[in-house]
Amino acid sequence: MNLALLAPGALAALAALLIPLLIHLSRRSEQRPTDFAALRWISAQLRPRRKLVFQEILLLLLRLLLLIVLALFLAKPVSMQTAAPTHWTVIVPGADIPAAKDSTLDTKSEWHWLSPGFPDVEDKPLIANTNIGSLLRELDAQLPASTSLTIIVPEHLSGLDGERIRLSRQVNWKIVPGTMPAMPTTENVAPIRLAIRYDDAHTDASIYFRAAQVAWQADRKAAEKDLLDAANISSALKPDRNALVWLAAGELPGTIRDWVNKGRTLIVSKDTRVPELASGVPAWRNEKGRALASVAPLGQGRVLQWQQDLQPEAMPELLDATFPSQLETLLQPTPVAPTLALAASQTPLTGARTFPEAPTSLQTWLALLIAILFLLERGIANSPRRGHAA
Amino acid sequence: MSSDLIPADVRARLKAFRLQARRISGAQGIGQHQSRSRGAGLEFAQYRAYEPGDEPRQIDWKLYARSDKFFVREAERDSPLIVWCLIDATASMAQSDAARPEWSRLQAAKALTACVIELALKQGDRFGLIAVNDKGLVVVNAGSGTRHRDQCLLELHKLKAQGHWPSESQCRPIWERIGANTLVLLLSDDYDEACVSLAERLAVARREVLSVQILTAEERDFPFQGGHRFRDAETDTELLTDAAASRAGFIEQFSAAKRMLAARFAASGINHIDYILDQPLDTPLRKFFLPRTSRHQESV
Repeated sequence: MNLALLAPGALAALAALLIPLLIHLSRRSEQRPTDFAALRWISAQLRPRRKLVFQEILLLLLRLLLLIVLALFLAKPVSMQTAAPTHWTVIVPGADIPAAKDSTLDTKSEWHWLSPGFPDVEDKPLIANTNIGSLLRELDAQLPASTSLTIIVPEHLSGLDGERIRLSRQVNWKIVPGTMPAMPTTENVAPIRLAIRYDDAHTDASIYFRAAQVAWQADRKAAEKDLLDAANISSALKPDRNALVWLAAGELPGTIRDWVNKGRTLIVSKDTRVPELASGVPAWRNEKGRALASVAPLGQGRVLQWQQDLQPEAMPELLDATFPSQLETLLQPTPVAPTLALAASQTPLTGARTFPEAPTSLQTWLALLIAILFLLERGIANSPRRGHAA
Repeated sequence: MSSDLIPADVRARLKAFRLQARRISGAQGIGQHQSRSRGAGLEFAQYRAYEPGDEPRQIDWKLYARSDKFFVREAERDSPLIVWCLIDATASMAQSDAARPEWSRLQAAKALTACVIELALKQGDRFGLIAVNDKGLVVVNAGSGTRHRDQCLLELHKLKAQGHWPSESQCRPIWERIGANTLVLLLSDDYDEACVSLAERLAVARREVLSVQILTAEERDFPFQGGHRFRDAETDTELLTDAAASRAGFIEQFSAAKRMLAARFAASGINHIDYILDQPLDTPLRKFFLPRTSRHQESV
């Protein structure tokens, strides 16, 4: 066990050790006169010798010890404990437990669920939002390097993320029959039904969106085909629209805001004022890195804003052949990445960074020790055997 | 302070003691002590010739039969004793040991006085009380009876140790009250020369003086350590000294002073004893008032 101090500067508090030493220095009898009528027979005017004599040594030692422990407490001692090599077995929810128990003979292992908080295998695991990649990385970072790890996985995994699982240690990846409870996946998003609204100044700009909208219809199924809906800003929106291009200078009308709030997507021109966009982040950058559009949430919906004037001189991407598909990507919510995989294909790689172990703090024990010492000190200081209080 | 000055165990032992005087008591009245006055009593003194007015029953008729003259048989009359308790109430009497701060010299003197008063009351003797300091003498005249005892105890409870030994003129009531052939119990630390000389002069002037020098255990043992600041309450002088180094010198000089005091008192015929505060309270009473026979038994 290695001990270390996180705040060694607090050891300066050890200077307080002088206080009890001074208190116990037996010079108080010189300050307090003793009534003594037989004074005339004390002949020698001897100066008191300057000898350091301490009174009540036990109490003094106790007080010194209390101060030392207090200073240590302030210095935040930690113990860099290297635990004995242990073995952990984690079970991914969905794995067949009897099969898992059969597959390993190591009974000394600690059995846990691979679930937030890593509950004991006797408890019930949390199934919702199980991202096994993230949980495995967390577990790998938490466990000491000497701990070996066996992971029992069902044949079919879900809840994976885009990153291949990469851990710092070699693990025993055991596959047993079973399927992970599937995460609720989002349904296929509805195709964009775009409405275009523009004022007189933006009539020219609207043609790029008209073109894009027409271009989308080419590769859609007949049932999803959509009529062009482009009009002046004064005309009302049809109820089936779920995206709107708003090309008008000035404040965004309240009715449009309410409409976006219900989960629709809006993209506005550069000269439209939407306060939420002050905190927007870039949603589309061109090859040179210039932000072309930024995005911000607005209620349940999203609002995007063009960062360039909608003219080919300012924004050549308008004339690009990929503009319709780029616009579709912008307006569509992010598609869900695939999360299902066969366990056999997901054997964790090694080579991830190892993390230094978090040292355990000893302050709790010291606080307990301080309390005990303090009670002892008070008990002795107030004991009736002492003649006077100090 | 408890209302009873005498500890219970000492009170239980009190009945063994008896006030005795070496001198013949001069007080009038019927008592238990030898006296110079003749009269009716048990102890034969002398025969004298009959004078008119003598009671016929005092005539010794057997002697008349032999000598044909009237002789009156006279006996010694037993007289009561007068006990005076002379308490030093100067400031030095307030000193006590650190181990037992409430048991001061004065407290011990009060308790001894209360013991003597109880003894005198039991024997029908008369007792009085004088407390001495320069703030004014406290005098309770000699008297007898339980009411008188209660009055003495009341004065004892009120008594405080303060001031110095009074001047000669302030001491005059002592001479006025304490008559000859009385028993005087002096309770003091005997540090005042005036006190010692008063005791000597009282003894010379036919008072039987018993002196108890009340000392603290600290004065006997000098148990102090390290540098120590001593203060004399009466003279208000302070002395800072190294206690351990001055112990041997102090004990030597102090015992020399005690020996000298004892020699002075012995020369004046004063029965002197020292009482140290950690001893049982009845130690001086045992020395002074244990009847001869039982004292003999005790030594066997």
